[in-house]
Amino acid sequence: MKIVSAAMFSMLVVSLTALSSSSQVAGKTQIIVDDPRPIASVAEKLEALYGWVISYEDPEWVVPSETQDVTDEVRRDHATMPRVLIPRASAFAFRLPAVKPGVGERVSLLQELISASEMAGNPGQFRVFESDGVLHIAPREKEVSGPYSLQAALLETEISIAEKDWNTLSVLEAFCKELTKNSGREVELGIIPINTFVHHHGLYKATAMNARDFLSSLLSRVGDGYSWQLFCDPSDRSYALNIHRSLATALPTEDKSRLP
Amino acid sequence: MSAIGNVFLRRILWLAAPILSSLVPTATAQATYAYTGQPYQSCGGTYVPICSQLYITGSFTVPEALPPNLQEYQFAPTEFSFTDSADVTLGSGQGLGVQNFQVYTDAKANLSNWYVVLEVNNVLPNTCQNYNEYLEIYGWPAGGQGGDSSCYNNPQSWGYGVQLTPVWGSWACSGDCEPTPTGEKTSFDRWGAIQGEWATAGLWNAKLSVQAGNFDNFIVREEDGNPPTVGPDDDKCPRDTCWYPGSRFKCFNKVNGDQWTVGQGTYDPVGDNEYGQDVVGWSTHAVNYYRRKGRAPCGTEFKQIMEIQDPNTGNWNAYGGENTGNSNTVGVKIGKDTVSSTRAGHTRTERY
Repeated sequence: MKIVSAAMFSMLVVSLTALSSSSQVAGKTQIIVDDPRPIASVAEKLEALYGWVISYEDPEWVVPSETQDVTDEVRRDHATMPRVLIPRASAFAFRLPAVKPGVGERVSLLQELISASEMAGNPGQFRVFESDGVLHIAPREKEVSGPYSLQAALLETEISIAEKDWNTLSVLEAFCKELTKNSGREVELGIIPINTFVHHHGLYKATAMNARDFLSSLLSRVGDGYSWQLFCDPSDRSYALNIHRSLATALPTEDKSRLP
Repeated sequence: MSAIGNVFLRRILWLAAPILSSLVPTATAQATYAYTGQPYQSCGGTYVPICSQLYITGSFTVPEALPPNLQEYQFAPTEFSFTDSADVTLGSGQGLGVQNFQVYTDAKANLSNWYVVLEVNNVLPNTCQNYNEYLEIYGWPAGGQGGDSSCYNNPQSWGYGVQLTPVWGSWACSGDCEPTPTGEKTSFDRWGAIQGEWATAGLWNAKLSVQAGNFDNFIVREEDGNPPTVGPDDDKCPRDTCWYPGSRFKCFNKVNGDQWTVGQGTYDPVGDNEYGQDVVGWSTHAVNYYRRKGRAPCGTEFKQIMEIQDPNTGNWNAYGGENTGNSNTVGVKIGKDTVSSTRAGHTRTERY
């Protein structure tokens, strides 16, 4: 069964030891990536491994061949409708360098990852770029034949947010509503560090601003290491904006001395 | 602590102070507070020729570091010893007639006011007679008062020394000097509706367990308390039974590492030593999504370790035990028409 297989073998980047699916080849670690969103899963593991911040955005899964029907595996109520679709992806091998890539090599490493996924026939065409120290993996604009028209990344949408003192949760909800309104695609908040976001306040404003730039700026003001993964559900093409903090950041020191 | 002009008056008021309380030794960690006083300025008897060389040093040990914001806190150290560098040395195990310890601590748990009186024979308010030995240290920097004194009297000789002007000795702590609460007690605050999309999340408060003082304005944070797993199982997301590979909501199987300020509620006010609100739940979007996908009933459960930050060092220290901080069971469930929120073993269920 495809799903079970995906779960068992997916995303093995971080545990570079004790993995049957990884092996050392000419100074590199070969890993097997098998996940419905292979690039996203590797990106998150690279964040933990290298301390990078890598955002990820799904393309809109509009082409039927890009998805697979997993209704029977997912639904516990045995209903046949609505169908449950997920991105279709095949496993592929990817080699990590033996040493942590330098700052100038990060984009090229991610580009290699994207190429490896595309060569495996996985759906989605991505581009990678860096902005203000954050790496972004976003869908590449593409012409789709047949009934599908030009696809652009959702976060290329322009948004406007009224200027005021927002808590981060409120402004993120407003951000999603604005994205929904301006893109025509439903966008909701996904799994987020909610308590942190309700505690943090700031003066935020956007006027016809690129959504990705706004989101990146917003999260950088909350703290270091915040990243997102914007996932599209192929069943209804709605999006969830999942936000997490890169695991490699913000750890305390140990100093027990104190003078009262 | 009130301003008191001289050592004798202070001594009388001291006797009228509340009944002695004691620290209950509940932990293995100990903290020792060592004192170094200022040189004497006025002496009598045998202390006259060596007056400027005399000053009080000593220490007391308590089972746990003194908590912040103590007021008029009286306690019995597990050990103590103080000397005036000459003929007076008084310590635990001597069966002293008087041994009084009272302190205040500031918001960071630093000693801000102290008063220690030790005496071989309880002859207060008279001190240096009847073969007695007496020692006192007192400091109230914020009130501009303080001073140390000691004396002895025996058939052969006598002497006394006093530090008259308000200059203060200093304290240094060794051992486990970072105070922590002994635990916390969780209570339900209310259901979400903090904003429209979070009606299905439970809001929880927790009250820190302390014997005295309060930890208001300290920062507490949550850390991942799940047992470590290595290898492919990490990616199965076994704790979140709503999630499935390809879901647009990511696996929810660990805490996010959030922080709270003690004494300040995020949405609703909290009392001293309380923090909140800890939001435990999925958004209405996620609840509706998983129901549409035929996943309910389903849920997630994981462990949360609470830590408190020492404001002097920045260190984070875990506190409490199972479901009293270290570690708390946290969970969420989605039913057909209900949602549940769990924190530290307490569960609330609501129709949604």
